[in-house]
Amino acid sequence: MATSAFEELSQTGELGYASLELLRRLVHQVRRTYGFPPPEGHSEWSDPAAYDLINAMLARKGEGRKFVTSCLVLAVDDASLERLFLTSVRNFLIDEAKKTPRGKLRRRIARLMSEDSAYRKVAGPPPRWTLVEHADGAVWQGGFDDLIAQAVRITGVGITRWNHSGPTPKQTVHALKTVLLGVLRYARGAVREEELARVLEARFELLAPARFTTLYADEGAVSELSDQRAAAITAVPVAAEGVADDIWQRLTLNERLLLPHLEEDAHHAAQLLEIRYRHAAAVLSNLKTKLRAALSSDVDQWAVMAALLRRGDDAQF
Amino acid sequence: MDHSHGGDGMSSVHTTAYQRLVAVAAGLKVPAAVRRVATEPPQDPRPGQIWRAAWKDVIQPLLVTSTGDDTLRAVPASFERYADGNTLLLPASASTLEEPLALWWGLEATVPWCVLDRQVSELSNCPASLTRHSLAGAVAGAPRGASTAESAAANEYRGLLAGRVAVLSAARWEPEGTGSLPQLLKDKAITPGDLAAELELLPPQALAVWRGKLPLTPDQAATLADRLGQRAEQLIAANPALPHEVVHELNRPLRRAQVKALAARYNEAEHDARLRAAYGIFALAARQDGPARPNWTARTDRYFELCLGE
Repeated sequence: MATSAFEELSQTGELGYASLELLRRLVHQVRRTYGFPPPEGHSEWSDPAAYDLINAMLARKGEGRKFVTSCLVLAVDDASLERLFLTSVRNFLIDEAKKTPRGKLRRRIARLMSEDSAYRKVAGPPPRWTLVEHADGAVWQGGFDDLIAQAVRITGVGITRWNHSGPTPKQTVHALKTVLLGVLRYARGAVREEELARVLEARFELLAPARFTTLYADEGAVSELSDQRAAAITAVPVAAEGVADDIWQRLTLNERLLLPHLEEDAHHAAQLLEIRYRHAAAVLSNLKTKLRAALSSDVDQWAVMAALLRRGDDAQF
Repeated sequence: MDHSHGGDGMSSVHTTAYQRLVAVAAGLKVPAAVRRVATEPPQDPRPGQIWRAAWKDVIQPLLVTSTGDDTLRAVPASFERYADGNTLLLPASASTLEEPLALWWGLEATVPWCVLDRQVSELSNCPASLTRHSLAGAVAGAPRGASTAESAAANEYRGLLAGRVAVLSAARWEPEGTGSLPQLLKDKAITPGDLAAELELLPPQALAVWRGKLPLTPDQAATLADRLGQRAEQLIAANPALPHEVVHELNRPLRRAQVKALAARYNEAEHDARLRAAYGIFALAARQDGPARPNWTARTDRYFELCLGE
């Protein structure tokens, strides 16, 4: 039986193959769940991007050794070690995301709203924004937490790329504007620009929570098998949707159309897409290559494919 | 094991990123003293040692400040730099962890030995009488947590620690042991012969159980539960109280590892395994003709030898 990350750390006192593999898997899990952007130097998430992120996390002065030591001190089994890893990865991703200062976020959303006729700026100080459909002079009087609660209720959007300069990626624009619109409709009046930026930070998990690790030990049930099964049951649905989302974003329109027809040959694809045979063959081949690369062994491939096909059904071509 | 991550046609970028990571990870080692103490057979706790306590859903490092027979006084320790006015902030050099530690002296509490899971470290320089004052004097550059360090997050963290310490302080695994089993059996018209047949016991053992001199093991209680229309836990609670020496033996850190191994062997929770061991040791002793003062440590050793093949 392969050595588990917990056994490896306990026996060697360092992060070996099993620990790095677990960290890689957790980086992907966290970034899919929360929609964190890839690290600097990577335009999209991949295993090298995950390794570079872990590297950056461990290479911070003094933090790497502290991480390894605290994991050995605080983990009692594989499940508790995985929770420690998960919390550290998540906190690090939050720290990285926070490097995009709120001021920059404010400037971005101000520009987005100023370019869209649905929004109206209410001159400050402090500057506020409202929707054109709202009455003049109406100002949001409620609590900040209410706005965050409303923002959290708006689902189906995520930030997968958060560039530090240049134009904001299209999908991020869509995500920001969807939440801005939802929050302002709920507010029925003008909201301060600063508050809108903070709501977006909270909605996209860019705010650091208290930075400590809450740990839960197992009640002593040491059956490794049942632990693994429990982990699989809870982890898969989220992971499958996340993986499907990643893949979906990377597919061209033609590739998306071909998804339900993977078993068919290139002739069928050519007819379906109304393109030449050679072009269709290339599209089909590209699609299969992308899927093979994306469906790594640690995800439930059937669940991901099912999620992808559902997306195909929902999409309006 | 393939550590290259490059033999399956993946790009060189992939290999490079992984290799860079491996190189960084190779430079990060847990201090040798920590690894040694965490892998050696556990000893009984002593003041100045830092232990990992684990009980129910709580895991918490504790600095042992004094020890008693079955309990000890301990201060919760954390890697985080939160503090309150009673926190002593230790520099990295003050313990074998070689990391700065926050010692929450305001949360010092009495906890039973049974919560101790593993020793993980000890103070580099432990004063004879371990108090916040004496330790602050023994460790150069150990500032007290100033009140300015308090924040909403620090308060929240302190609350979390206080909750963990409360769970650890209240830890108890041994049943009260009302000793009402004989009456219960008589009420249900169970004879020693019935017991011998149901539990496949020899007549002297069945008689001992019937008279409340020998406990029912959890397995036996489960067997009898249906017949008596009672829950197995009720029967266990009606057992004679466990001898204090058995409880003490099973509270020792050395036994914790054995109980975990037993739990793994029987695929059950640690708590159930501890009860199994307790009644097993008790029953084993009751079946043996022994001296007036039985050697419970030897009996406990013998029990785990039998069960774990040690």
